[in-house]
Amino acid sequence: MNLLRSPDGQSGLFFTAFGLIVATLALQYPLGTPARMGPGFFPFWLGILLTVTGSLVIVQSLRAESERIAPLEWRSAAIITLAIVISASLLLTAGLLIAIPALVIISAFAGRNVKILPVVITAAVLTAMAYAIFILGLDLRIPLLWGL
Amino acid sequence: MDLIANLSLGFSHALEIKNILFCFVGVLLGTAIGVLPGLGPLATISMLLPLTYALDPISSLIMLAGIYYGAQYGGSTAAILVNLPGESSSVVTAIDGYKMAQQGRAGAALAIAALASVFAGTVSTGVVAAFSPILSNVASSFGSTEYFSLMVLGLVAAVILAHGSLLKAICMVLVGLILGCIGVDASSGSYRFTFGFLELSSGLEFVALAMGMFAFADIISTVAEKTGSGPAIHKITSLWPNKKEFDAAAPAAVRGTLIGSVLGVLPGGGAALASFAAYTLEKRVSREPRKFGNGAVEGVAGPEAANNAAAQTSFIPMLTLGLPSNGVMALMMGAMMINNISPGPQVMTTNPDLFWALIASMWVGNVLLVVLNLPMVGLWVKLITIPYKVLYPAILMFCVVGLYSIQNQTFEIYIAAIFGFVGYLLVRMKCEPAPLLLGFILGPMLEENLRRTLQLSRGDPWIFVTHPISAGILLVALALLLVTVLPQIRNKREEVFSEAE
Repeated sequence: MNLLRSPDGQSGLFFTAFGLIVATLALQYPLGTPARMGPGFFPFWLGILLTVTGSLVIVQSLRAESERIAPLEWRSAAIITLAIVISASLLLTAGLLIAIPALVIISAFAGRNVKILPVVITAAVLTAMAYAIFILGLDLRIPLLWGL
Repeated sequence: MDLIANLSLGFSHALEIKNILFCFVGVLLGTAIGVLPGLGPLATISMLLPLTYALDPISSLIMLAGIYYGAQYGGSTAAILVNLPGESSSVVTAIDGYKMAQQGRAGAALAIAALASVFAGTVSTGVVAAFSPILSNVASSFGSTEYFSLMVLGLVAAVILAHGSLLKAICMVLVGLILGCIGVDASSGSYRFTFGFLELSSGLEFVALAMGMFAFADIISTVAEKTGSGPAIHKITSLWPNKKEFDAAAPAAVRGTLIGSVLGVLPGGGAALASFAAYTLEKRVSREPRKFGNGAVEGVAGPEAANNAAAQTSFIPMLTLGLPSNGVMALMMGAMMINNISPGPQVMTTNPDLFWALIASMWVGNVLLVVLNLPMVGLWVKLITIPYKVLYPAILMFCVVGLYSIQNQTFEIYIAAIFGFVGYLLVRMKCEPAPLLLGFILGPMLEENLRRTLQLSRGDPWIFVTHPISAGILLVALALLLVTVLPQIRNKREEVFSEAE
């Protein structure tokens, strides 16, 4: 179907859905009147506007000749996001000296032709850089290794 | 003369050793990332935003500005030597610059690009200094009604400036405005969209949003393809242009400066558009248009002058009206707000030292750039050979630790990871992230001014049309929208951007 395969169709659906959700959520706050706007007023009308504009995007995508959306880079998206999340969770528990190598090594698998040795060297150099810049240079308070 | 007094105030700050150093760091970084095809000013400035919490506002803004116009220089170096424009604004430079390099005139092309840029930089710094106070004076009499309209104009400009579909850009602005609502509502004190996270009570962290949308999303979408082999680099022989080349370049640089200065100020204008317009103009006024595309000196000088001039004058609407005309300006505004300076016409009166120091530093930065670029061009070119494999883990490292350092907590890292993923999906759906960021920044101010205005008018929305200044601004916004929507002009606009891509 044209709607799901074109960038316009997909984004139109996304915006419309997001607008509807926001408008619904905004209703839990008092709307007030235009003269005395409540906390829900601005987000509610933004949500409505987004729903309307999003639907227009959908209409537009149905009329125009379809352009296929680029294939989803699932691998890159999953690996990069995972690398960031894992290093964030390691940063305060295992320390900077574990979190940065983890970030570099996991994220390396998003690229093509991964070779182990260059990745390990990059990880070592970047960890040393992080230590020099953020701990020695900027004096940030980050645990280095298990709370040390 | 006020101007002289103001400028000397600015130079007294800009010439402090510390600020020269930050300016130097800025233009150095800017040149480096301009040369590197994998990294643009948006990602770099987002990466360095956490630093602005630690630095004083003058130094940090000077550095961030240096990155922006430094990138215009670096971009042209890569464009000329390897036909690989590091920035979208130097795409046009690659056309004739690379041809010159192939003909053994690489050095001359680089020198002309640098000289045209510094000339344009100097002139447009003067333009910024001369016009900003006037605009700022006009705007300081504005009330909330006028401000609301002004921000609408700014958002319309953001929409027009975006590539591709107008409707999608409007949607992105709206999403940004909605994200700006997160946190404690200023007037009622109630928590909006915080979903129980205490960390969200002061709003979504701007740096996390910017890093996610610009740095992380960009890595996700390009990491798989950027594993190609290194490009061929042309040797630089003589660095100096000969007299014939110089005579052809000089008037082109002047025309480029003019066109760039004007297009930079216009909302929705910017460096990429300016360089394209300058190239078209040079081609039109030339007696031998056939030279273009085969190594015409004018084709390097004009666009290079134009993109540099536009990069500088695009500061005018941001500094005087609080309206960012492009993504980089949105980030600069974010940096100011991090330092508790609310951008707008009052900046010039409340922070004159910051305002004039920034302007003076642009000139200092341009001089530094020439010194930095011409003798060290060989070194810059080596940068192109840094593989992306090493580059993107380094970007990730700086972002992750930087995000942590904002509040000494990991919450911002998770937020940025989410927006990296969402940002990638949006880019894949051909939605540009810059309008979203503009909406996010202007959102809270837009709501506040809307509330105040409607309170005064007792809920009557016609007040925006009955106040003459506000009506005028809205009319301009409407006209801009119409001009973009009209199909004929619209086609032309897409042509401009598809060539600039």
